[in-house]
Amino acid sequence: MSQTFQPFWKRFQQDKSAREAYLLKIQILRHIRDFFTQRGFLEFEAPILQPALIPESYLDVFATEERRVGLEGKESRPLYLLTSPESFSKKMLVAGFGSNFALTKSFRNGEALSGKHMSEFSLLEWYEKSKNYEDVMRTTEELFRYIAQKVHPEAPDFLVYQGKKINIAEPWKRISINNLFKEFVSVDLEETWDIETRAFSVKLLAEKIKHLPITVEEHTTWEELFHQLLLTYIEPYLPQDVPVIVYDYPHELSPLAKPKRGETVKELIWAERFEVMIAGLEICNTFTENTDADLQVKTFEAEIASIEAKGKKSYEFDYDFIEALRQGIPECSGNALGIDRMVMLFGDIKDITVFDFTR
Amino acid sequence: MTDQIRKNMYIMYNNEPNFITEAEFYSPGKGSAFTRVKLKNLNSGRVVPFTFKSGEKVEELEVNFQNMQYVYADDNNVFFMDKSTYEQYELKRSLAEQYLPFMKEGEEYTIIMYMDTLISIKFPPQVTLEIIETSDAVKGNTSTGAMKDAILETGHKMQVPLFIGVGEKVKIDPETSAYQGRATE
Repeated sequence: MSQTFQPFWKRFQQDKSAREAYLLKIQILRHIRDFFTQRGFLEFEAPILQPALIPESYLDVFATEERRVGLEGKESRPLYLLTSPESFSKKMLVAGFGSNFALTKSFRNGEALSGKHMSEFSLLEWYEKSKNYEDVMRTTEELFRYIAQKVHPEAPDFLVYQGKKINIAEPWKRISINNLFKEFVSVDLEETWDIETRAFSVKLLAEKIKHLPITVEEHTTWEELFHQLLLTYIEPYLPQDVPVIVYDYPHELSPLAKPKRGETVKELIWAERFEVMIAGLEICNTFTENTDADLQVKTFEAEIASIEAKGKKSYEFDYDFIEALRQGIPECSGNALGIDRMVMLFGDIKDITVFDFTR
Repeated sequence: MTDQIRKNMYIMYNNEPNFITEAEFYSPGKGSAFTRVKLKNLNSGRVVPFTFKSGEKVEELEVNFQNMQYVYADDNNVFFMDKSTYEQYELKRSLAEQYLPFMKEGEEYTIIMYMDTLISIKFPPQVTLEIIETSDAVKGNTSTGAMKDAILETGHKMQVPLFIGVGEKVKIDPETSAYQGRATE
């Protein structure tokens, strides 16, 4: 990644590929709008300034201060840049609006210094009322095919990214997290579930991976081992010639998702969540949304405890979101999709920072 | 022990010496931070991806650098000589394979040693070698990008632009084996 500062307007003057990347992004934004509007989705305009955010222990936020002046005097309060439109869109569903989408800038602090992350990025979130995550898998496939038809109609069945040819026309490959762990690391994660504590156990998982060169220390968490295994032994070996839908994540890593229906509901082991990986890029994160206010209180508490344990900067928590759930949110499923990464794929762009105007 | 994992570092991993060829900070959307690396095993030469937890400590190897003369290579090993002691050392061929096409017998190279074992070559980022065989140079247009076969003085066959002739020296990036330009002396 280049750290030399060059004003973006000069970059656009000199670099044809940077100009093309920007034009492609504008074009794709329009096609996304068309796709959802044609399907009867309502477009939301999510507010950027938020008085409170849903606690998510792995996110760092941008905080600012609002100052207002009146005859009565001055007042000020903290406000935060939205990390995603999720809370807003779900409250609007509670308010009685139907299936919807929002194209919005979102902001996350403390992101990795890499060619795949930006502090300010373009996010698409859509919510499908009365649908579950399997329905959204199909919508996601259709959205990619629709955009491919529009931006390269001469070859709509394929994406070519960094020398990899990806077939998006056939149904995408679907595989659950636990099947990936069984296949690539010979570990059944359900066997690392501790029925006493009703949580995943780092001790049980550590025992199963003794043969691997993975260090387990006293402070190592189950989540760390889970991701270390996923990143080391699974992700690099996923198919590169088709998009891969990885589904059913651990519920404790998916606090806003609905626990998976079926035999494991009572234990909260899995959540109805999927991510799509295309040519090694993580493109989106989707849940069947949790509608249970009591469960959401518990995950709020767990996330807040985790924020405190990590010594992270705290912020106002969005308890109003729980109030909204308590009043009753319709069954729905939502997808958060990184538009910049989608444009990278369609434009065969290696580095996301072509869309970063601050560097 | 250190938790400052970075590129081009020698570490002991899984009881074997390894070289970190790539390193990147990584944070999954809903998880802790990690350092993703590519590890080159210095016993086998194999490169595998690995992930370290953020803050995880690794044993950094203290390596020594020594200039040695390249003598010859056979199917399994590359042989070097310490010119001050005339002692001969060997390096597993799998650990030097990518550099061999650009190495000249009799030349000195910087060898990386761990304990008393040769583990790698600190190869220059660019080497200059003479062309000993190629078709006649095509004068004139130097911008077309068309390439032809040529043989280096090391015996390695590679692609060079049409205007390069026998006896000329070219610059090469040994990491990618790519032609980088005509050497002007």
